[in-house]
Amino acid sequence: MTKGWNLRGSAISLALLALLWEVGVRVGGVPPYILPAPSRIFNTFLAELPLLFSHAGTTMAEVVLGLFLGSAGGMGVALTLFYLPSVGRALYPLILGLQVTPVFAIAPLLVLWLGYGIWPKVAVAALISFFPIAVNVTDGLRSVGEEMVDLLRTLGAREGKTFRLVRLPASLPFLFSGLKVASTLSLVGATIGEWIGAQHGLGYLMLHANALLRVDLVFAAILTLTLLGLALFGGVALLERRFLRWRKEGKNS
Amino acid sequence: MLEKTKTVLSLQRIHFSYRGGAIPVLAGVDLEVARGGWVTLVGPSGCGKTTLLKVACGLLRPARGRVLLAGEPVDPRGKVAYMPQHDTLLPWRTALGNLLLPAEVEGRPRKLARREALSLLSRFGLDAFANSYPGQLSGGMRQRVALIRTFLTEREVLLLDEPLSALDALTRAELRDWLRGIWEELGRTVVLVTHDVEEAVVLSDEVCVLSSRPARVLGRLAIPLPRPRDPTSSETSRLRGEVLACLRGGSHD
Repeated sequence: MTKGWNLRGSAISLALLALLWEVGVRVGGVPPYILPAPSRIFNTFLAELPLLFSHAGTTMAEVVLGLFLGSAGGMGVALTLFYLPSVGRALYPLILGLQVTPVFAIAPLLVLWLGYGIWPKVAVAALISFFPIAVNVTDGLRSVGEEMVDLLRTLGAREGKTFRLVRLPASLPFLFSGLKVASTLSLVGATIGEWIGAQHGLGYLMLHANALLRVDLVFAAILTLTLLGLALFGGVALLERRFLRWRKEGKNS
Repeated sequence: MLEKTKTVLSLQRIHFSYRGGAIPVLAGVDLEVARGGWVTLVGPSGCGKTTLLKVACGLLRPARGRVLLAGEPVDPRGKVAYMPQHDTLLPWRTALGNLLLPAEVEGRPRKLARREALSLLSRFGLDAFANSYPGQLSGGMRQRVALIRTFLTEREVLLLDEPLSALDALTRAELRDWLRGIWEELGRTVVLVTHDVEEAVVLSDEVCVLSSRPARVLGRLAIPLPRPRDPTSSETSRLRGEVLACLRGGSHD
């Protein structure tokens, strides 16, 4: 992923975009409660850093908890689909139904059931991140070739050992692919959860600022969300590189 | 009677079919392999050579017939080493890590296994690759590592399913000598499957010719030549001709 990045090019295009925005707003005389200039947004971002930080902490806690619970659930479903295919087949329509139902549609219910604290947001983040993990890990468990399993059997391994020595490590790259998707999705989930009913968090802050026509603060919150998303993705990518060193080195031949 | 005790692996009238008899694969195959000997199975592709190996190592249960190890009828699962046809190195483990797999499955002490693996790597010219991942190795090197791993299983009988087939001609000739060398030094019993008649004649004590499916034994040919054998000598050419004649004789019915 990072291989395709051209840092200098990205920086230049970003700077150009900001410049165009800045000039457009100033020349066009757009009022700041409609579209604030980037310089104003950045100033607000700096000035409100403690406030943004405190709300970001709440959102991040929801995301990380949701991601953790969603991953655990996703892996559980993947293992069930793999080891108990008949149970898996019975459950699959249910899981798929849950997935195609927009999670945001049931978010109000979650708020009703779980209150205004972090738990409905954790639930939304978990529900939204569970599916990519389940699908990817299932593929990972199935990616192990028949001959590899045969080899382990002739060495005298039972399924437990085969799982630990072969299936689990073979699933890791798939797990990380799922985590990359899930980590960004769960941030979306937590934010929307906060829109529906919250007392803290970046989503709540955005709604609040919007009502006060503090569009600069809305943008500052969006910038914070973007940074959180990048940090999450980067964290997963870092873990991936740490655990899958063989993939990088294996390509040198 | 004396001859009998020398036999380490014996397959007696093995019948096997897939899907409960719908597709007969083996029709009463007999095989006797002497301790320390080398028997090669040749036959038309798809005739059931791999199936026979899988019966011999207990991955498949014959419909009729018996598998005997050192004269005792047993379930050979876990008692006979098997090297499947395709790349079965774990891509996330280095060459050395792959060699430790048998010891890990069996719960043998890691330190000892490591020392043993390192000594074999250096004895057979692979010490420079101990810490390389399979993705960094050439096809020939990968097969060498997989072959050494098979020798490290501490089983008396090694079943090798076309270990040299996927290699280019030059590497194959090189690996053929290398494999003979390691077998002569480590002294194990080998059953090799190949479709390369020259390979069979150059390497084995005995060539066993199988018919097309369902497989029967068409003939056995002792190769009483001293090793190393010259694949271009008149003796080997004559024996190759005999094996080919035997193969052709079976394809008429």
